[in-house]
Amino acid sequence: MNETFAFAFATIRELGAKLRAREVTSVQLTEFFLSRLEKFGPVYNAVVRVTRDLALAQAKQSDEELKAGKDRGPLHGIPFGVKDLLATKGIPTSWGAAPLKDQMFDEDATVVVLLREAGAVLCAKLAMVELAGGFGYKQANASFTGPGLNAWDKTCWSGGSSSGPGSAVGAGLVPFAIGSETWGSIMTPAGYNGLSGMRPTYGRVSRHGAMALSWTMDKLGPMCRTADDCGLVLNAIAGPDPLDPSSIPREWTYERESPSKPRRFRFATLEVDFARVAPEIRANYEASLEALKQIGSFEEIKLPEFPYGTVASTIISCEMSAAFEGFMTSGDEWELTAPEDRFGGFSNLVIPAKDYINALRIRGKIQRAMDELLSRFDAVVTPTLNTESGPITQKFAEWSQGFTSTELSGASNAIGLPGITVPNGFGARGLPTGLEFTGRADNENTILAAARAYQQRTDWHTKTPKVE
Amino acid sequence: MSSPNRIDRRHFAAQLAVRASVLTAAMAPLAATSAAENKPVADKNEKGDKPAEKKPDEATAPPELPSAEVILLTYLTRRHPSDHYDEAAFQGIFRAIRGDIARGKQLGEFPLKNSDEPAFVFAAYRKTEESGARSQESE
Repeated sequence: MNETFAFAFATIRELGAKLRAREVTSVQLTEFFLSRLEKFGPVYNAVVRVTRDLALAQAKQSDEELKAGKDRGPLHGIPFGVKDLLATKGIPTSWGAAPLKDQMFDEDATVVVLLREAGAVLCAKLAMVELAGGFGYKQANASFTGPGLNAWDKTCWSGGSSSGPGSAVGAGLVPFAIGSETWGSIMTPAGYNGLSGMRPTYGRVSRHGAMALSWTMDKLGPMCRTADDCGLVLNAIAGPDPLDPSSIPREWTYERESPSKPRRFRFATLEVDFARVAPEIRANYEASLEALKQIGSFEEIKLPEFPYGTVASTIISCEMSAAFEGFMTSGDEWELTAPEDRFGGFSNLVIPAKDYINALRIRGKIQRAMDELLSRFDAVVTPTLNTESGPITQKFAEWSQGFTSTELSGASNAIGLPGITVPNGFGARGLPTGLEFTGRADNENTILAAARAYQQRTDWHTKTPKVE
Repeated sequence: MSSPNRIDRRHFAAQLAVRASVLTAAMAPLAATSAAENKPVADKNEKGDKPAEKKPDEATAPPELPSAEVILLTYLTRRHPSDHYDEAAFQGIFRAIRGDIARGKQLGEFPLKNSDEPAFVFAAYRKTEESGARSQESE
């Protein structure tokens, strides 16, 4: 096994074991990932800024602490990157937007603070779709860093809006990254790049210091190589935060069950619109269900009748119009990269208040109906996306087939349900496909256990792209 | 201080005069489509291959009001003037407004009772002495 493979595509646990066995120091690991970020980051349009000096200082401190017997836990000494919508003191935070590329904040986001306290080493601010895609981009070239390029095929999109975390973790430029999801922005790049990516329950992770697109729908979550790594990262960043009034006022702990105690899961499936799903996605999905039958039971269910997409999109449109009214009317919006983004948020400024309130009223009903439905299951299992990623030269409408084949994506994001995607095969062009587990609110440990169990029976998460 | 991205009221008034014709031309096909889509169901059975007969009171009927889309588009572009509006922008904003109106209609049609309250995320604010930060706790 050469060094590149041993480090670049290793899991957090594997890297942590090497650190503690003194096979490598955090400074060496950090130098390794910094050089990959500097060399390949521009190749994939994955990086806004490499934080070399900060990273080496943090890595040096990590090594000194380990030497002195102070171990901060599984992330101690592990390099990582964050989507560039998380504030970092003294380092610009661009939100992916050209007119904001030199924007500065005077404090770190809570997630950045928590990861530092967990001993992790911040190596890069990673690229993203401008303003987290809230302005209605319709094609890949929607960031001042250029279109996010897929770790498996640079002619294809890395997904959005967490495009940089997707391709950076996929190409082995960092062991893990933090992304954000309002509606699909972790699941999509994680799915397209063959990652394990998690959207926690709304409020599980503090949003303090993160760009607000939709105050009541934004979630921050880990993008990693395995479900187990997602659990480790979530363990470090979850918890109540007095600076975020929407944070859940309860601690959360990652519970990793012993593999010697297998459990049976209760899975639900939905009627999938296979007419919109690529044949390879369908085949991979059906093979995944076969694998899951070894560890659980299945029941096909129907979602209650609600206008999920309308509710989710109305809430995002109205909240973003308030969050970005100043930006949209400053003239700066005309400097955005995607032409359609330059006026994409305008109509939201005149949506009647009663539409927003009606969406919130319906959301309350969706929450109760979905909770009752999901209380009987450990997870709903669906294909993450309808297709593998498509060419950056085409509009999404030409190849994505609507991105998702059920209404669960809109429903779960509107009401803040947790989900995790894991790789489950490859499409016709050889790009990764994904399997998504969606759970009841607060059930991150359950869906993590299901995803881990799937990964114990498959090896898709061990596949790596050729990076050059 | 002026900026290439901003124009003052006088500038916009001059622009508006010039662009009124552009706007009207840009909206015409869309307005026609919108009108066709909003036609009452009964009208769908009408034959479309013969000229419409002029009704007796048509000459004296009040002029038709612009569509909600055009009114909102006009409001937006007057409220937020810019040199950058071109046909693509007008068309894009117009289509988005039309989508928003349809979305609002769908939400309004969902059966809700007077007692169905919105799920606001809200808590009384009280600064705590310990942290000096926000808290959701109340007495």
